[in-house]
Amino acid sequence: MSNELIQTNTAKLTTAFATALVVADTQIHDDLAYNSIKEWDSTAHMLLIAELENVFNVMLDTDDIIDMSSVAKAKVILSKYGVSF
Amino acid sequence: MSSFANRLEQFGEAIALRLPDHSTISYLQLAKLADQYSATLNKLLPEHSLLALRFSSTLAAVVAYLAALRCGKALLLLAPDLGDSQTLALVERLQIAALIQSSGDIQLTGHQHQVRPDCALLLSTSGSSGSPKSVMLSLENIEANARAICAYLPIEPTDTAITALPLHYSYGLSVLNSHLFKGASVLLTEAPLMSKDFWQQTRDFHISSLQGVPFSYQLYRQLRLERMPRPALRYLTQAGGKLNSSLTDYVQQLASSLQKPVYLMYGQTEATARIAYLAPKFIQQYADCIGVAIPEGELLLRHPVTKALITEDLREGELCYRGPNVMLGYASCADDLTSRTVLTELSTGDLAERLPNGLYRIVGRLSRFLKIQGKRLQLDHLEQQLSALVDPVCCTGNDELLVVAYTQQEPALAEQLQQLLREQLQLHPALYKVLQLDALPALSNGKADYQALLQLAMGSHHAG
Repeated sequence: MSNELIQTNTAKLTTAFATALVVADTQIHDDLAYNSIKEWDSTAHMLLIAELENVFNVMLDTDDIIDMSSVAKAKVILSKYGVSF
Repeated sequence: MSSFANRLEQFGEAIALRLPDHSTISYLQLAKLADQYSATLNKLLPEHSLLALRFSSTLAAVVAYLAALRCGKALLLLAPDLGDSQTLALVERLQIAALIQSSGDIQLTGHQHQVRPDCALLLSTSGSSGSPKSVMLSLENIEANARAICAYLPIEPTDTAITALPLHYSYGLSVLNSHLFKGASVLLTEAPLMSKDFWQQTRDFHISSLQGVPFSYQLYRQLRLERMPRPALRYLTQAGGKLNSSLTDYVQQLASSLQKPVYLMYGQTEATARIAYLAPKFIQQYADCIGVAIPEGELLLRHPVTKALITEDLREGELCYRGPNVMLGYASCADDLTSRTVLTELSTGDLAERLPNGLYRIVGRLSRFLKIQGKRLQLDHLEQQLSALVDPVCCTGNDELLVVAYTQQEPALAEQLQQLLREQLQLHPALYKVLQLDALPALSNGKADYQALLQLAMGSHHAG
């Protein structure tokens, strides 16, 4: 059950990143970092935060928003808000 | 003519520039660095040569900028990441004699074109898109605008500004210039607005003011700037396009919750940067106004067709501006660089009215351009560019969405257009919409009906 939940959350996260960055799902992996590809610029970051807050129904703190420097980091941060990966 | 760039020495040991590693450059040191660089430029190039600089927010680039101003070389400012092919096209079109990299490295191109002696600086009208149309500014323009800004903004010699906006952009540049004019300091950071480094720096360096185009305020809202303790922050400024109503609400809330003045400003690169500002006391009641002309400047309204002066209140006309910061003229090719035109009055292309209390309000736009994220997009120019790919093509939109429509039924086209918009204009896909239509909406006279197209696109935008 919890495994399924984790899988669902990972899929949701991937979709949120792909939507905000407008790249293929296959390009989303843990090592992908802010400003490492031109698609992940400040506009995309802003849309990404809105997307993540929406999809996982959380309200991120300022420090967490600016700390979200990679996909892996996004998972760590979202875990603090009770979203497991 | 001398400018603040020639007077750096007067502030002696005061700190001019701060770097993210906490090292500092005094005004005396900065003058010395600029003179060393000038000596190199003078050895390589005759006076009144045109140079281009990839203007990153780094010490080497700022030294190159000040050196060019101090030694009488004309300088075109480029986005640091402007693509090679676009850079090369500009070099050829304007016959630029040398390209200066962000590192300060100089590459000679072999061109030897001489620029009119009063032209000190060239700025692109459209930010990073590499449009060949540039604004020619004199030293006097730059000096006058910095002086006016220092007269209405509360800049103190003890202040530290931060490069929240790119320096090749007139608004970003005006922050550097006005602080150097006043003997204050600027933190040169390349950290993006949406990064931990940037916000740490605003705290660690006791940054005294924050600037922003409407898009920056969207970021400030998402970051909940009002909750960030920044005791050194004394005031905020906004320019680079009109705020939409939800951002206006946010800025008003920000002003009252922070209890700090917010200056809404209006300007154009054609006027070096600033034209008008709204005194912070008006922000709750008159946030839809651009305020009054900056010191030494004058706003006028003219009938769009007859150009007759409009003196009555609440009568709509084209907003025009006179002042010592009005550009020399435009340059689209090398020949324009030797023109002798001197512009005394600038037609802004915006429609405005004056309220009985003397404040001006923008009510519409006469010429076809959009300002998306502070970048100006000339729609006719864009149509021309795109017509190489697809013809006919229509461009319209508002400051939040660019709309491109075409009829040709070629499956690969949509993708090609998207890619061009994303890569050349550096627009996020959320900021444009590409539509393939059976027919482009037209007026009875056969001209494109841009209003109808926009409505159509907005309808499908909300639905989609």
